[in-house]
Amino acid sequence: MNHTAAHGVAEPLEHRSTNIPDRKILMWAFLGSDVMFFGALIASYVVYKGRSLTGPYPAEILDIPLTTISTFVLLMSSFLMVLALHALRENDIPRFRLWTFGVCLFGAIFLGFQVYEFRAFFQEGLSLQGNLFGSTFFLLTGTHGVHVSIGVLWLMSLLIGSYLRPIIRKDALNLEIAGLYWHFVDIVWIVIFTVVYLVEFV
Amino acid sequence: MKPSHEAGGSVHSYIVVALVLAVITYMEFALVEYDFNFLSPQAVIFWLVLLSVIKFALVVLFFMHLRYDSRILSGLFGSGLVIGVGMVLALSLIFAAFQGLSLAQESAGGEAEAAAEELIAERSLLERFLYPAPKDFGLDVSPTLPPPEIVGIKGELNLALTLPAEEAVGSEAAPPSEISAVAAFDWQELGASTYGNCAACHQPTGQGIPAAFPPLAQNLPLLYNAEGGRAYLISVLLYGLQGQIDVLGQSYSSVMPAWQQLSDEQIAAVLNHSLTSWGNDDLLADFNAIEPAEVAALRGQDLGPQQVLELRQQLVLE
Repeated sequence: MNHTAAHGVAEPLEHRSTNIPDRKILMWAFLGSDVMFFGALIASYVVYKGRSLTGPYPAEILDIPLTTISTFVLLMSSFLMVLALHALRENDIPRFRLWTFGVCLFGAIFLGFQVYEFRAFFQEGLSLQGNLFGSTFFLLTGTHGVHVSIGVLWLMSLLIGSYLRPIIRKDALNLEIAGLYWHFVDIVWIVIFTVVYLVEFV
Repeated sequence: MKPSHEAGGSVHSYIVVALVLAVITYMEFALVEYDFNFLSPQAVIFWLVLLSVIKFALVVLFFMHLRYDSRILSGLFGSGLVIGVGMVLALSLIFAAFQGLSLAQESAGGEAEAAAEELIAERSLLERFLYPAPKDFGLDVSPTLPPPEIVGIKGELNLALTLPAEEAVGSEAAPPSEISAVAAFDWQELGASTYGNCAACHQPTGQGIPAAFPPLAQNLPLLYNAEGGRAYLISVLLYGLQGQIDVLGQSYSSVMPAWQQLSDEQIAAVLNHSLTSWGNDDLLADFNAIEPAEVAALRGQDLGPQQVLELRQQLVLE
């Protein structure tokens, strides 16, 4: 499909020594740095694990069945994400819109679970300043939740944009980059789900 | 030439990956939720980590296409990943080592600690015999007795800065008085170093953080001057405090942890330090330094943080 570059709508890849679009490199560099960012938050959760002087303690309030469902929802949103990108590359616009809408919807469902969870925990007495578990838990999962929210808004803007102006080949690159971000949010949750939730109940 | 990002992704492979991800998530759930008696806890953790690494790798390699993409991208992401994982491991090791060290020191120092406590108990008895109401502790710096050993043992673990310069000035300024110096509980330095535990929340200035952590400046004298305030202050350190309180017109509902792991000397010293710092000494009606023996007397009551709150509510504050 590289011949479409001749029409001037695609990025002229030939001019780059790496043969990779700049913005895609930029996104991967950002994701590499974001790994370190989450590494710091996960490390702070891990080193303060089991050191809260007062409750509520993680084993008292974490809910594995509920979180397994929200984890599943986020994983499936990643699946819809690759389907959306595939459809756009195949020029199947209705499917691209359907799958992208699905990603946004699943992302919103995940956020809904998180809001529900935060509310329930707060009512149990867990707070940012109450104990070490609360501080490190809300900081870690809250930062992840902000990432998910940004991803949902980003993908929604691409979806809405597809109705407002004609779709060009560059849109596939835009969607691919947004998709990389979305998958990254998913893999961060894979780690959080294991480190924060599952290991607590072994 | 076909652009690299076009290769390798068929809908079929995506469906397979998604199914594997779903199955692995269910396996993780089952490992935690159902009892697998034949697996030790270590084995369960091993499998949980392995399964999540597989999920992580599947998403990165297939959904994010890194398997088919340029090595430059793998390098960018991989270097961040190595540093991030290394940071988690390094910090975990450092914290584990630090905890092991403090445990070892506590057990090794057990005997010395008991001896030091005995010495201090004796001294405070002698002191009370000679001076029923000691005054001006602030100026009494013991020139003859070294600080009890316990200071060295616990003091090393405190991250607070102890200022040797200040100590030197103190001993020069205070003319060594012969008898009272022997009797005095020398809390100045110990109090300042123990306060390092408190400064994270109550701040080095004793001002606290508005609406989060109550100030000690101006607040402690009110409590100390009230009847029963002395015992209340000791109880807060021994048993913590939980519930809503009003301090200088501001409401607070954070949790004050219990500090039972501190020695009687440390608790008495840090209270004396806080009561005489930040201008608090001017607000005290009549200050007699809190003695380690008083702290020892209040230990073993097993109060809860809510009961300490009740103690506070009984205080008549001016």
